[in-house]
Amino acid sequence: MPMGASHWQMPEKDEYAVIGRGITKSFESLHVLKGMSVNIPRGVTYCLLGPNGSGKTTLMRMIMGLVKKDSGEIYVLDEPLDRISRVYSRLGYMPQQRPLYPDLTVEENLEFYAGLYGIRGHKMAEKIAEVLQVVDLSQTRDRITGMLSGGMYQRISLACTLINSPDLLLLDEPTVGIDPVTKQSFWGYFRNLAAEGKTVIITTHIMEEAERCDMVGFMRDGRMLAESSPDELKKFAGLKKQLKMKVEDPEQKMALLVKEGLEVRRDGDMLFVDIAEASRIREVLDRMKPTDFDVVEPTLENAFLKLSV
Amino acid sequence: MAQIKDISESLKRIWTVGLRVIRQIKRDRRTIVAMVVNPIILMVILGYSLAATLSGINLGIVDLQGGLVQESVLAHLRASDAFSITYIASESEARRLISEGRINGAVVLEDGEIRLILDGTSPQVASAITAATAAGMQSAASQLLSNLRAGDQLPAVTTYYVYGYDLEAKDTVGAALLGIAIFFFNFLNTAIAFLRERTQGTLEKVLVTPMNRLELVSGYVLGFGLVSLAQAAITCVLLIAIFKVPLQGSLLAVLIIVVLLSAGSLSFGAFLANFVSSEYQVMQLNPVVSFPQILLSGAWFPLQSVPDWLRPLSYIFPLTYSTDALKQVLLRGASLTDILFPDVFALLLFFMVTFFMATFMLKKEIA
Ligand SMILES: Nc1ncnc2c1ncn2[C@@H]1O[C@H](COP(=O)(O)OP(=O)(O)OP(=O)(O)O)[C@@H](O)[C@H]1O
Ligand SMILES: [Mg+2]
Repeated sequence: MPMGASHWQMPEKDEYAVIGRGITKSFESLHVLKGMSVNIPRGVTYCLLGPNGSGKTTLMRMIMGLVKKDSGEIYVLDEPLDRISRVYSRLGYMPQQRPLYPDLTVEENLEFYAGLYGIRGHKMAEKIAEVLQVVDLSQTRDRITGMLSGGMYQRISLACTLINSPDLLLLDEPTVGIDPVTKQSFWGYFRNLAAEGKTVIITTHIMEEAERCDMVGFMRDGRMLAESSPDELKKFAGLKKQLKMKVEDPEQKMALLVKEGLEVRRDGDMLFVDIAEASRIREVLDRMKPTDFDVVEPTLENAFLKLSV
Repeated sequence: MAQIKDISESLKRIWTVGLRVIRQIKRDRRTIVAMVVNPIILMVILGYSLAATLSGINLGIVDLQGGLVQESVLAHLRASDAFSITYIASESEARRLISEGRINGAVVLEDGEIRLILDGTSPQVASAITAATAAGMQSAASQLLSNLRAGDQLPAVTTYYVYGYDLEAKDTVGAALLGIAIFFFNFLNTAIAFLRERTQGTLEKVLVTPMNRLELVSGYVLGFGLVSLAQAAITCVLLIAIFKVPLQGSLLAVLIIVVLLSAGSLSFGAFLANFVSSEYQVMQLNPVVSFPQILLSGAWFPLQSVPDWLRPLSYIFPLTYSTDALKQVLLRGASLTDILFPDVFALLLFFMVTFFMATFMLKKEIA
């Protein structure tokens, strides 16, 4: 049973932007999804995590009806998947390849996507100005898109995704190649969207980013291994705080700690001790009398590494 | 009321795609130059280098009793594989049949004169008839020398063109070339454009908007259709101004043929784009699509020169109908109703079938 199942209760459809049950998908003999479930509440930033090829992009495309499922049930914004086109006007998709017409200007690209959503006239002009502001590229409006730098291209692609003020955003690795300053402002913007009640689904391989999400869904072997907040995921992975100590006579001290049932690793005169309860840290320190020490919080990266194998 | 709003929204989306297509072409200077220059280069190079062996020419004979020479000519025409001979009672009947396109030319054998009634719009056919007649007279001449009787003299040969003038090959090819240029401009550009839509990820994104597949393909038809109209107008002006091709028919009819042909060829390109994965493959596919059509559609070589067993192919190619329609309108002054069947009808059918296939195949995008 994936962790969080008890926490999230039995999902009420309208509290969730996306609900999926028992989803399977094979590409010929390759079984990509094998009984996947997914629960994405409204108004959160939700990060899909998983190793390359674990099916994140496939699941995302399936949620939009771009990939047919073999079996299972999916609801997106309360609509079953076979009526997904009803909510297309409320979706914003940013594929892993950046979907722009390189021979058009930035403005022409934005106008094109606006037109597909029926946004025209001065409403369109306002919206274009607004999304260019978000990606901080108002000055590129008249440039040929194909001539932009990689990161700018990426940012314009995000701008196009925002043009219809979507209720549900599906962003496939949106921050690849983006400079740290812009990345920071993107995340601020995503959080604001969530605060306004919009749902942002993101895939990323950058753990610091995943850590900022309200929820992460960890995919492995075609299943949803866990769906929870980043902190809970770390606990789920069995990660503990780690006490890092520089000690004299490390060999003997290590034996002592191991005898007490603690998990210890040694590297030269450094000892790394996993400690579940914060209260024990002081006690261990008092006895070991390290010359130097540090308490290391577990990272999502540790969880990822642990859950991926 | 809601339905009217839906339709108007749908039309606006189609226009959004059409506008985008036009903007893309507008920015591509080389393509624009190629659109205008290609037909002219082709016309100059290919228009002057036509040669073909003809067969199945429908030749009318009006036998009004001539002498030895006339008999020799008749024997010669009958012996040739190129002609299938029909005997016709009068010259005026022969002229009527030619103008209706039922026969390709006629030879009137009369005492003291041989008259060739030829179709000026098919120079190769005309010259084949002229050549066969000359050969018949040649062999009669040698007999005459050994066998001369008083009062015998070689009959005079006069040539009449039913359309009043002797068109040069480049003129008739010019009409066909417009069709060829339209076909390949639309076919190649749409195949590549749809391929790019797929590889650059825009197709996926576009399919996740309120726009459906039908509207997407329609938008392409609109955008490329308008560009093709401009191309046709420019080519027509050039044909008249520089190449002095006599323009007979209604411009409206020409434009309707062009729009139908471009719609069909671009839908065909969109359909084929589903089976290729690179622009290089489109280029490899191009000769397979283009050569048979150019050779078998009656654009370069008259349909009569197409071997019988290949003839069915000619009749499924859209270029066969556009070539015929454009020749009829531009050179013979035919009106839209004259070419409604089979030409306009066939072009419309080709468009509807390829449009359906292109729209249907887009669906397969979704695995
Ligand atoms: N259309 C397709 N045909 C065949 N196989 C496919 C198709 N789409 C995806 N796959 C396969 O499904 C698996 C999952 O692919 P997917 O792109 O969903 O992975 P991912 O989790 O997004 O990986 P990454 O982190 O690299 O983006 C891969 O093995 C991929 O090769
Ligand atoms: Mg992916």
